[in-house]
Amino acid sequence: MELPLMEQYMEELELDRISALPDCTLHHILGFLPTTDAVRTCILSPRWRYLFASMPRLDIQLHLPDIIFRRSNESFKNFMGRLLFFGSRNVAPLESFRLYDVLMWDDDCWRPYGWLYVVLWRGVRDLDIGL
Amino acid sequence: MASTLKKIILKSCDGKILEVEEAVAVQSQMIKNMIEDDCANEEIPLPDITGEILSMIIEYCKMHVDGENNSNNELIARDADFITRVDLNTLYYLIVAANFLNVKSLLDLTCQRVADIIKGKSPEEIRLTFNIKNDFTPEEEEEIRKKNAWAFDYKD
Repeated sequence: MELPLMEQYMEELELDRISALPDCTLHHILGFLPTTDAVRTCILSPRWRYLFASMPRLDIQLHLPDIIFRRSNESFKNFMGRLLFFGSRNVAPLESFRLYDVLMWDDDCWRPYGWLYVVLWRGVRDLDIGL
Repeated sequence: MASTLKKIILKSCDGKILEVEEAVAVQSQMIKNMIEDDCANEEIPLPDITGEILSMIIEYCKMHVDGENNSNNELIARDADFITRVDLNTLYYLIVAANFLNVKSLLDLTCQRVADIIKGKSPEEIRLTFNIKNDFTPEEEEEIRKKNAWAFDYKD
């Protein structure tokens, strides 16, 4: 009698419960993470792949060292483009958008305007920008 | 007033019955709505919440009602003490229950706890911690890493 119970218990311990939570709860969890940590969860499994992109409240705050940002500037710009346009396919409108501490180079300084345009088009209610 | 002493009766999915003071029970927005709609006069069955989890939630809500006059720092310290005693499995059930009962401060506390566990960990460490099965092929994983290079380049 004891062995099956033990096995059941062991199986219980090995379940991936967090991925079984509904999207809104996982969004809530991601909302407590710094942007880089939240984005990195996209690689955990297909379940997590687009979770960050479908968040109704986007809070982008970056404290990347200059050297890293210089190297991956292009990938960040592409990311923002995909993020905002991917999300636009969602039914839920964007509730809030917050963009802080993101470095921009002179020839890119117009880019946040483009992001703003998309965000407004998506009917954002709260907007908070500090560049 | 007599109404302040009114008890709300909650029944867990494993049949445990708990009597809770109304002031404590209304920490749950769901129960508060039921009381306002006059639907809380008989025992309230909670289909997905075990007695053990329900007791913990009541303990948490009671702590918040009793601590209403305490300083914010004291409440934060008590919250921290409450949540660090909880293992991952229990944390999951608390999230589900806090969601269902709509106890916002507890939902924030539990989700923040999960975020704190994730924070600063590598994807491999996160998968190991939560038993997340990686269904990506190495090629897919490499592609995703490349697309989000700015986030993966950065290490705390």
